[in-house]
Amino acid sequence: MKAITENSALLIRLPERFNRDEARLLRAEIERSLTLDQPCMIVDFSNVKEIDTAGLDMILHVMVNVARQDGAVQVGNISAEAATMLELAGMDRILNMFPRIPDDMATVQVVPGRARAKQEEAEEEQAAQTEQPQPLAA
Amino acid sequence: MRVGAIVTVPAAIQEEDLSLQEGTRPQHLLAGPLACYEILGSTILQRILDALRDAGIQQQTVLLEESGSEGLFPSRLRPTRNFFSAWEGSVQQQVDEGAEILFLIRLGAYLELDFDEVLAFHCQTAGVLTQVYDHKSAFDVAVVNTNQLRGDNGSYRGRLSALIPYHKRFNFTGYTNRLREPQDLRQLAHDGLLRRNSIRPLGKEVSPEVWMGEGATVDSSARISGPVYIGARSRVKGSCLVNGATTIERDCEVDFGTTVTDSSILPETYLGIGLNFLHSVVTANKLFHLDRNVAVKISDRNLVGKRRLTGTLKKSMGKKDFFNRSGPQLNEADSHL
Repeated sequence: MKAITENSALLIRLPERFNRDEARLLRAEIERSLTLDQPCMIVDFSNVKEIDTAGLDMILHVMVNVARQDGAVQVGNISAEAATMLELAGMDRILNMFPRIPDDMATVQVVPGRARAKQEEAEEEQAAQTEQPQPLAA
Repeated sequence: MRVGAIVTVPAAIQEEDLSLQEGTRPQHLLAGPLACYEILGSTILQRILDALRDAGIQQQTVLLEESGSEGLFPSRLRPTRNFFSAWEGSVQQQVDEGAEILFLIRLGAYLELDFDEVLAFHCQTAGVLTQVYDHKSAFDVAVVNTNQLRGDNGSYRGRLSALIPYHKRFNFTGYTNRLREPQDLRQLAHDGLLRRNSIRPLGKEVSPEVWMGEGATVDSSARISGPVYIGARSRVKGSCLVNGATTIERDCEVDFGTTVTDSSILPETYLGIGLNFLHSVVTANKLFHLDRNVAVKISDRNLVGKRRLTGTLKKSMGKKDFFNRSGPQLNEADSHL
């Protein structure tokens, strides 16, 4: 993962099932990144289909920590399922209270746990395919 | 004149179909046929059977379809042998018991039909087969003379199919709900609470537009703003807010500080602490959001789950059997429900 600087926002891409295990892995990753004053975070919920209480708790934990350091949290893309779950927990209103992150700010991506492993696997596979010698035209 | 009725209940959706369709077909929020879900304290099936009984049609048979069988008249194209034999047996039994006219009803849609009126139309037009229509299309409700079904060769369904070209249309203009999507289920409950249809809540009106079923409890710190229905043995705990034509069916629990607005909570559902349910239909493991048209699976019981029943509550529930409450005959395997 690239180092986060004062001029960049952390983009957290949540997995399809954001449960206790994924939340624990993500917490470790984010806490390493939360060293700056006024941190900026963009949470991407576009892949999320299920969130449990541990996942919701993790999002709340991020919001509290960012708020303490006068930072900003913003929802990136969001699935209908995630929007429903955030509304259910009343967290949609809290997320809207944060100041807006400038659109042109550079992002450093964080993908937690298994989702990251899957992404890396896919990237490796793609890289392997591009490296394969192409058949010569007859 | 002796009149009988055969009511068929559409098949339950199988679990494997549910997993395949997850997220793409939100109507599959509910595993069973919508007609078997309780709305304001009673199922559509039970309400139809009561309406038939009120119209003097005592000879009733309820059949449960198997998956693959669709439509009012058993299809030759998609044979489901057990259902056909049960259907043939039911017609035979109705004929043997002296029924001269037979109502054939498939519980796909809810319609507030005056069965006497349909019967009068059928007799006046001297038709052999009458089917109910609205301005859009046909409903799965038909009336047939049993003497037209008698014969030595072939099956009842074969003889019934031969009558289809000669059927007469009964044009229905009353209240209908096609019960295809969770939105339809919600609309039906909403209309019932607002007295837009004839579905009345099963319970007492304890304050203006607030109905409570037997044994339902509401904490004194909870705010209930009608129209609202709270079903039998359901419990609304402290600091909750229930409003916006919400229906909470039997044996539910709404835990501390939760808000339920413009939603239908289906039986035996637990709603966790401090949550907001808005424009939703909620079961013990799924939430269907009506505005977003999305079904969300919830497997965390801290949020939504099946209500854990205490010994006393279980005792007070008694044996749940919504098919046999009024004693209609149920054929077919009832394991689907």
